[in-house]
Amino acid sequence: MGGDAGFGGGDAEEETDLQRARIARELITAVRGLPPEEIPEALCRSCAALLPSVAGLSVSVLGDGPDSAVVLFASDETATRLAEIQYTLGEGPSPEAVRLRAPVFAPDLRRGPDVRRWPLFSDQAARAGVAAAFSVPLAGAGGALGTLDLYRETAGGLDGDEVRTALLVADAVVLAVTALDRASADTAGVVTWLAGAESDREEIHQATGMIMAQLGVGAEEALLILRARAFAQGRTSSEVARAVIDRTMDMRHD
Amino acid sequence: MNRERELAQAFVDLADTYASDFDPLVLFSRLVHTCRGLLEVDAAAVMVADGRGTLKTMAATEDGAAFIELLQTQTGRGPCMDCFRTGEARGIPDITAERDRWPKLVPAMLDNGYRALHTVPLRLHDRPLGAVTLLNARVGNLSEGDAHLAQALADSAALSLMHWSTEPARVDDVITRVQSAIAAKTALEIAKGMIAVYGNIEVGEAGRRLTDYARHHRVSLADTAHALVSRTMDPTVIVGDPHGS
Repeated sequence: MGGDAGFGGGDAEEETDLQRARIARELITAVRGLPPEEIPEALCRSCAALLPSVAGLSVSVLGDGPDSAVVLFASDETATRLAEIQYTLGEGPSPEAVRLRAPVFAPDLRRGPDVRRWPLFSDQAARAGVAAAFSVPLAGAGGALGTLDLYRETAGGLDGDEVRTALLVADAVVLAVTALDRASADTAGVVTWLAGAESDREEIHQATGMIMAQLGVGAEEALLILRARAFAQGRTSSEVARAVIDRTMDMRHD
Repeated sequence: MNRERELAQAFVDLADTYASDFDPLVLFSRLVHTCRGLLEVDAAAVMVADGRGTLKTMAATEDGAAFIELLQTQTGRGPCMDCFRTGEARGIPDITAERDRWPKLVPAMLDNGYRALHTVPLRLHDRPLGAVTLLNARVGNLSEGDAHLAQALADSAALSLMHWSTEPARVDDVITRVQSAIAAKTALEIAKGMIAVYGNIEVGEAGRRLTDYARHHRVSLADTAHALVSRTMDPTVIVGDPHGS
C-alpha cells in the first residue's frame, strides 16, 4: 500500500468536531449572561465574525407555515430586505432551503440559471445590490426551523471551507437558540454538554423517533430529552440512544 | 434471468429515478442491493459526504447495529474517506494486514465476519460525492470485471441523483442535492424509531415495514418518512392498531 501519504489524511470527523466545538463556544460565550433582548444582536456579531467573506447575513425563524418567517437578526438593512423579499414572495433560495431541508445557493442572481429559477426574487435582489445569495437551513430534528442567509455584492460561489463553516454556524445557532436554557449557565458546562450532544448519527435519529412515539412529543423536544438524559447521566447521546433502541431505557418509566 | 438481462435491468432500475417522483432513499437502497446481487460481494453500503466534512451512510444491505457501527468507524477516516478524498477505487484483500493503519475498522470488520474490503468512489464527472463500500467474508481482491461494474453502477446512481432539472448541474446545486438526500435519510431514521414503538417491533423491521408500505402504495419513501415525523400521517396506517404505547 505505497503512496498513501499525502492526501490530507487526518480524521475528518475529529476535525469537524473540533471546529464545531470552537464555533459553538464562540457563539455561547458571546451570548452568555446577556438579557434576552440583547441576544440576537450578539449572535449576529459572532456569526458575522465567523463568516468574514460575505457582505452580510441574517437569520430567520419560521412561524406557523413555511411561508411565514420572522427575521431574528440581520447584519444590515440589505440582509433584512433580502430575507423579507424571499419569504414574502415565497420564492428564492431561503424558501427552497426550507422545503428541501438542504442548503440552496444562488451564486449569480444577475444572469443564468438562478434568474430563470427565481425570476421575481433575482430581480428584486439585484435592485437591492445583491449579486449572490446563499441559504442554509437551521436543521431541527424533524425539519427546518428557519434559515441562515448570506449574501455578496459580487457574483461567485462559496468555496468548500466557507460552505462547511456556514453549515456549522447554522448548527451552532440552532443549539444557542433551542438548547441554551436547558443547559447549565457556565460556559464550560455548556461546551461539555455540547461535546456529548452529537446529534447527527443514525442511532440518535432512531431513538428520537422512539421517544416521540413514547411520550407523544415533537422531534425537537424528543432530541432535547435524549440529550438532557445523556448530560444528567454523564453519558454520550449515542450511548443513551442505543439504550433506548435496545429497550433497556424507556423514557416513559422515569 | 441471464447475466446480460440482469445487468440491463439493474441499470434501468438505477436510471428509473429520472421520473418526477424521484426518491434518493430508494436510489441508494437499489444501488447497494444491486451491488450485492450482481457482484461477488457479501455486503454493500453507500456513504455520501456531508457538507460539514464527514461521511454519512445513506443505505446498506445489512441493518444490524454492529454493521452500522462498522460503517461509523469510517465516517472520519478509513478506506472510504481515502477513496472519497482521492476519487480512486481501492481494495484491501486482507484486512488483518491493516491493523496498525485502521485500528477501529479492522476489529469491527472481523467481528462482523468480513475479511476483505473494496471501495469505489461515488462521483459526478470528476467531482467526488462519496464512496461505495463492498465487503467480503473471504480474503481476496474483487475481480477486474466486478470492479468495473461496481464503478459503472455507482456512476449511474450519481447521475440519477443529480438529474433533477434541465439545467446543467453546478457545484452549488450538487451540495443542495446531496444534503437534501441526507435530510431525507435523517427523517427515515426518526420514522423508523416511531414505527418501532407504535408497532412494538425492532427498528430494522420498522424500516422494512416503511419500505414495503411506500412500495405497495407507490408513494415516496422520503415523503412518507417526513409525513410521519411532522405528524401529518398516522403511524397506525403502517403498523395497524397500536399496542406498543
